[in-house]
Amino acid sequence: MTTIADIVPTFTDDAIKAKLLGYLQDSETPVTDWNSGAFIRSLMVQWQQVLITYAGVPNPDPQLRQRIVAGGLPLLPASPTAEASSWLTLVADQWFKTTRNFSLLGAQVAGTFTVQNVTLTCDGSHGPYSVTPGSHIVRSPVTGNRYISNGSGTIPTSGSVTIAFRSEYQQDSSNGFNYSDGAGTLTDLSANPLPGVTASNVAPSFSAVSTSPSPSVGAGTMTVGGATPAAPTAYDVQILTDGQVTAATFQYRANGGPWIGPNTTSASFAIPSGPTLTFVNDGLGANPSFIHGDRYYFTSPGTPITTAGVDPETDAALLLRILGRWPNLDAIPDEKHRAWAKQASPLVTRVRVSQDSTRPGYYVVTIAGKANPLAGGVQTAVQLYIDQRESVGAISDVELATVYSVVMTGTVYVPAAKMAAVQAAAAARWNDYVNGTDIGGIIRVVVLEQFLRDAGATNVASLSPLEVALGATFVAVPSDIIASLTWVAV
Amino acid sequence: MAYADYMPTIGPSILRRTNGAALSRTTGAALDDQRNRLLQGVLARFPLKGNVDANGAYGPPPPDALDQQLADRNLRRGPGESDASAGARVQNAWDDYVFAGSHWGVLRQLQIAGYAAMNSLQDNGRYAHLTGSTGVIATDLAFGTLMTCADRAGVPPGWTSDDRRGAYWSQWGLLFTADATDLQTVGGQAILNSIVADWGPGTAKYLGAWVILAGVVWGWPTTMQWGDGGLNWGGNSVRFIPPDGSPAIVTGP
Repeated sequence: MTTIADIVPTFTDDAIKAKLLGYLQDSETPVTDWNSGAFIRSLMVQWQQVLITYAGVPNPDPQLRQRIVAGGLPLLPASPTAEASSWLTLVADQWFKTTRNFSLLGAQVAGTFTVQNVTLTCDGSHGPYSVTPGSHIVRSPVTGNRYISNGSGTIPTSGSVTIAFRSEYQQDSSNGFNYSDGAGTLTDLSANPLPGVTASNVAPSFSAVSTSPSPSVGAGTMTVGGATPAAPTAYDVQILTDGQVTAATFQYRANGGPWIGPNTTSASFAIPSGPTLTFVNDGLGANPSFIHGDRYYFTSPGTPITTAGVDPETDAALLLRILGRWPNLDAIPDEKHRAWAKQASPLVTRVRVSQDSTRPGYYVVTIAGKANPLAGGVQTAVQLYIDQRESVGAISDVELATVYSVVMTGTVYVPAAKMAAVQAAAAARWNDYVNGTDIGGIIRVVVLEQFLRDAGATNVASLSPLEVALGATFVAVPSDIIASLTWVAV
Repeated sequence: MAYADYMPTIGPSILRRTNGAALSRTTGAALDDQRNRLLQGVLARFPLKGNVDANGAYGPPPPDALDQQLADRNLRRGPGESDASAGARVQNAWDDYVFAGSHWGVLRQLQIAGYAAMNSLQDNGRYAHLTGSTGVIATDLAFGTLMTCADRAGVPPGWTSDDRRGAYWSQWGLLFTADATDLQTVGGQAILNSIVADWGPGTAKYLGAWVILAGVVWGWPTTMQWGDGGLNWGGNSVRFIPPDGSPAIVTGP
C-alpha cells in the first residue's frame, strides 16, 4: 500500500542522481559516468539541483511537495521549520477559525509585544514636547531592550506625563527577545534626546487585583488603595464566610505568612502599615456578593508592564487548540442542558435536568451555584442561552433551585484545649460537603461524624438527622454547626 | 528565487551562453508556472486565503472552489452571496454547527438561501422567526408562544400541524406568511426540504411547509379566534409543501 512517505519521499542529491541515471538506462543509455564538464553530466547536475528544491534535503527553496501535504493534514508530523509552522497557522485559521497568538498579517512565527507605562518628566527650563506613536524610543541600560512610544501625549514644562511604550520586537524568549524589564529601568532617551526630560517606567503603588478562581464565584469586588507597605509585599485575601459587605468575613496574609482574621468586610478596611481594602457588593444584585473560598490577591508595588508579551505559540499548543474545536460528541439531552447552563454563566455550578411529567417535550432545568439562590439575572441568562440552542420540538423551563438549610443537632465531646480548632476544621469541611452536594442529593450524618472525629473530637452522640434527602429541585446550604451542635469540653 | 532566474546560474557553460541561457530561463519559467499552479491549487482549499499574488497578498479562492468548500460542510451559497461572505461562513462553520437542530439553525440557513417570512412552529407550543438578517442570534431571533392558537375541545392548546396533535407533540413545520418564487418552483421547494433535512432536529418530525397565499390559516395568526375579523370562509388559500418531495398542494382558491 502506498504511504505518504512513498508519495513525498525526501530525496538526497545522490538519490536524485540515481533516479536520473535510472531513467537514462531505461531509455537504453548504458553509460553511468561521464568526464567532468561533459554535456549530459552537467545537465544532470543542473536538474539534480532543480529537483532537489522540490523534494530534497537540504532545502534551498521551499519543499513544495512536502508543503502540499502539510497544508492538508495538520496532524502530520512536520519538520520544525518556519515553513511548516506557517502552513499549520494557515490551516488553523482557515479551517478551524483558530488564530495563533499573533496576527497573520505579521511575521509568520512571532510572539506578542510587551507594553509598559513610561513616565516622562520635564524640568522648568524646557518643553513642552509632543510624543506620538513611534516618535520616541526609551532604552534600558541594563538589558539594552528598546521600547517605542505607542501612545501619545504632551510632556509639560515642569511636569510629567505617562505614556505607553511598546517593545521593539515581539516576545520570543527562546531566541533572546525577552521584554520583562523591571520598574525604574527604562531611563535612556538617548536615541531621541529631549533636553530637560528624564524617563522612567514607574510602577504603580498596587497591582490589579486578581482572583482565584477567575472569575471569582462571588460577584462582589475588592479594590485596593491607600498607604503602601515599607517593602514589596504580596497580599492574599480569602473570604471565610458568605455574605454582603459588613456580613461576609475574610482573612488576609502578607508574603505567604500566617493568616490574619477573621475580619469583617467593609467599605474601608485598613491593613496595619499597609493598604486599605474596599469591598463593594455586586451591582446587579447578587446576594451574597462574597463567597467563602474565593481568594483575591495583589502586590505592592505593581508593575509598569500593562501587557506582557507572550512567546510564540508552539505548534503543539496550536494543534491542541485545533482538536479542542471538535464539539462534545455526547448527544444525551440531559448532558446538553447541563453544559449549556454552565456555559451561560460561570456562577452556575450545579444543574439538574428532568422531563416535565405533564407537558410533553418540556424539560425542567434546575440551576444552582456555590451561593444560592442564584440571582434572577443568571436565571434569565441561562434561559435565553438554552432557548437559542434548544432543538425544535423541545422547550426548557429554567428554574432556580430552592434553598434548603441543613440544620444538624447532637452533642460533640472535644478536648478543651482544642475546642476552637476542632470547631473550625469540622465546620469548614462540613460546609464544603453540603455546598458540594448536587441538587436533589442526599446529605448523610455519617459524613459529619467523620469530619468531627478527623478534626479531633473524642466522641459524638445523638447526631441528627441521620439523612437529608433533598427534593428534586432543592439545593442544600449548611447552617452553622458551631451554633447548632452542643459542644462539650472534656 | 524563481526557477527562471535560478536555472541559468547552475547549468553547464553551454547553457549559460545566450541561446542556452534562454533555454534554461524558458524551462525555469515553465517550472515556475507549474510551481505557482500547484501552490494556487493547494490554497484553493482555504476559504479566505485561497490564492496569493506575487506580492504575497492573499485573496479568495476561485468561486467554484469555494462552492466545493461550502458543499463539503453542507452549506449553500446564498443568491448573489459574495465570496467574502461565503468564505466567512465556511470558516465559521464550527460555530454554526452547534445550532443544528435548533430554530436558529434552520431559519438562518433558510434566510441565507434566500427564503423569507418564515416561522418555525412546534406542536407543543413554541414558534420562532427572524427579525433581522445580521447573522447575530441575539438580535435576529425571536420566539413566540403558540399557546394562544385557536383551541379545540379535547386537545391541548397550541399549534396544530395536523389532526393528530396531542398524540404526536414532537411534530413541527414551517409557515411562510408571504409567497415567493422559490416557494412556487419545484427546485425551490426541493432546496427548502434539503435545508430542513440538513439542519432540522433529529428528535422531532417535520411535517412540511405551509405558505399562506391569501387570507389566514387555522391557528395563524396566533391569537385569532372564531369570529374574529378576517376569518372569511371561502377566501383563504394555502400551499402545502410536503417534506418528501411530492407535489405541493394548494387548498382554497
